[in-house]
Amino acid sequence: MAVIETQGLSKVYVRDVIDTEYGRLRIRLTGRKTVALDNLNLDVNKGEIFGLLGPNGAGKTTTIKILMGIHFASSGTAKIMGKPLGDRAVKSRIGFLPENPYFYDYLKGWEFLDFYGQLYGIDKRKRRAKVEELLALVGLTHAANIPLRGYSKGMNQRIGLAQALMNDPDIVFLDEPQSGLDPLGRKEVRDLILGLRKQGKTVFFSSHILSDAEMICDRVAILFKGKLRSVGRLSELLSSSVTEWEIVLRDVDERFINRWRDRLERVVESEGEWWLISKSQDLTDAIIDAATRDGGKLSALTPRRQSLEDYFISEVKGS
Amino acid sequence: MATWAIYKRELKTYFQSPSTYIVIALIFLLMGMIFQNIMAEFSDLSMRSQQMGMWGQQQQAPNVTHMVIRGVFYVMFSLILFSIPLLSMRLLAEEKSRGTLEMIVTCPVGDWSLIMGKYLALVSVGVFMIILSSLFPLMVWYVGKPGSVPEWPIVGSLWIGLLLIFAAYSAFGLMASSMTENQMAAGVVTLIGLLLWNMMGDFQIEQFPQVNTILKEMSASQHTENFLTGVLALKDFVFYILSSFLFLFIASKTLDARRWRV
Repeated sequence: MAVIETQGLSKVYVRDVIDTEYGRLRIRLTGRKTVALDNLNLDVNKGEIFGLLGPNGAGKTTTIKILMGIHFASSGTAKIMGKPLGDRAVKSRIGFLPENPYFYDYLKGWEFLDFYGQLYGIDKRKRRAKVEELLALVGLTHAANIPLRGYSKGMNQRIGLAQALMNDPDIVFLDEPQSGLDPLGRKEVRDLILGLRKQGKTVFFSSHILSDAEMICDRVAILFKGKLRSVGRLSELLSSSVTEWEIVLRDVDERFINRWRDRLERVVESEGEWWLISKSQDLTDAIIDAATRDGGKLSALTPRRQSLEDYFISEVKGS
Repeated sequence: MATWAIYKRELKTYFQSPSTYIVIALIFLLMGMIFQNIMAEFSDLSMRSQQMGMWGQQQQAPNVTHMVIRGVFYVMFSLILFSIPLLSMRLLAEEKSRGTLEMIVTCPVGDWSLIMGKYLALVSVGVFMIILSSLFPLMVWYVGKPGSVPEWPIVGSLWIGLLLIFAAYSAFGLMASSMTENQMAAGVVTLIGLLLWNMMGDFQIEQFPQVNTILKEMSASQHTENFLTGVLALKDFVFYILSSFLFLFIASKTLDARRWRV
C-alpha cells in the first residue's frame, strides 16, 4: 500500500525582480525561473526504506520540502497516507529532519525536544518519558542539560533525529541524515533507520552517500536535474549478472600476459602476481585454461557485480 | 497547546535577551527624567498657588493627574512607537533567516497559532512595561497630600489606552517581520509605518475634504486623545482591536504566500 504518492509533481522557483546576489543588488527581468522538479511520479510503500538519490541540485530537497508543506508545488499533486499535503492529522503522524537543521541554540537538549513535544500536543507526563527515551536512543542523555549551541555537528544531527521521532511518527522524512557525520555516526544513523523499519515505520530519505543507501534501502529513486531517471528495487535496478571478473595468477611470465593484454580491461603486476580484469566469461575461462597449461597457478577469481555507485554514475552520465 | 508552547518559548527569549532590558531601561530612564521635571514644575506651581491663596488671591490649584501623570504617560505613548520596532523586528524574520520556521511549519501547527503565540508574547512584554509604569502614579499617591492624589479612573483609562496601542503597534511590527528575512529591514519598515500611521491625520488635501476626514479617522494618534483625557470611547476600542486583527491576518497570509513564492 502506497503511503506517499506523487503525480506530475513540478516546482519552478521564481526569483524576485529585485534580488541580491553575492551581496549585490540585482534587477532581473528575464531568466528568473528555475525548474527544480519536473513531473515527478513516485509511490512509496508502507514500511519500506525509500532512498531518494541524486547529485546536488537534483531536486531531492525540493521534493521533501513540497511533501512537508514547506513549499507548494507549481503543478501536480501529492498525497501522504491518502490525504492531501498539509492535512493537520497527517502532520501529526510524520516526522521530519531537514538537511541543515537549525535549532533554537539557547535551548537545552531536553528543552528542545520538550518544545516539539508540546507542538505535537503530547501531554507533560508522556513528553518527559519520550524525551528521556529519545535522548537515550540517540546517545545524548549526557548532553540533555547542555544548550544546543554547545553541540557538535554530529550531536546536532542526532538531536534533530530525536526531534523527528518525538511524535512517534508512522513516516519519517530525513533529508541527508548522514551529512556531516563521521563513519561511526553514519553507522549509528543507518542502524537507527533499520530499527525504524523493524518498528513498521516508513522511512523516506534523501542522500548522496550511495554506499549507505545501498546498505539500507528497499527501493531507490534517482533524480537528476529535477527529473526522475529511474525508480525500483535495488535488485531490479542493478544488474544481477556479473559485469567483470578479477583474475589473480602466479607463476606466469610477461610473454603469457602480453598474449591477452589487448583483450583485458586492466593488467597490474604486484609482488609476483598478475591482477587481470576481464569483461567476458569466455575470455576469463580461456585465460585460466591457458595459464594452467603453461604451469601457472590461479590465486583468486572474483566475479564483480554492478554497485549502486556504478549504476548511479551510468544513469547520470547517460542523461 | 501549540500557541501556548510558542508563547512560552518566545516570552523566555524576550526575558533572556539583554536587548529587551535595554529597551525597557531606556524608556523608563526617559520617563523618569520627564517625571522629575514635571514634578518639580508641579511643586513650584502648587507652592505659588498656595502663596496666592494666602495673599487673598484666588487661583486654581494645579491638578496632579492632569499635569504630572498625563504628562508622563503622554511621553510613554510616544516612546512605545520607537520601542516596538526593536522588540518586534526579529519575531518572524529571524525564524525565516535561521531556517527554524521550516521545522515549525512541518508540525501540526497552523500559521495562526504561530502568529498568535509570538504576538501574545510581545503583548505580554507590553503588559510588563505597563505594570512598571504604575510606579509613577504610585509615587504620586505615596508622596501626594490630600487633594494631590491621582484620579485612578483616569490612570486606568491611560493603562487601557497604552495596552491597546501597544497591541496594535505589535501587530504591525509582526506583520513587517513576516515580510522579510532581514531583521533590520523589518525594524525600519515598522518604524516608518508606525510614524506614517500616526501622522496620516495631518495630511491635508484641500480639494477632497472627505478624504481628509477619513485619513484623520484612520490615524493612530487621533484615537489616543480620548484615553489621555480619561474617556473610554467604544470607537477607539474597535479601531485598535480591528487594526490588530487586520495586521495579524496579513502576517498569516504573508507566511502562507511564502510557500508559493519560494
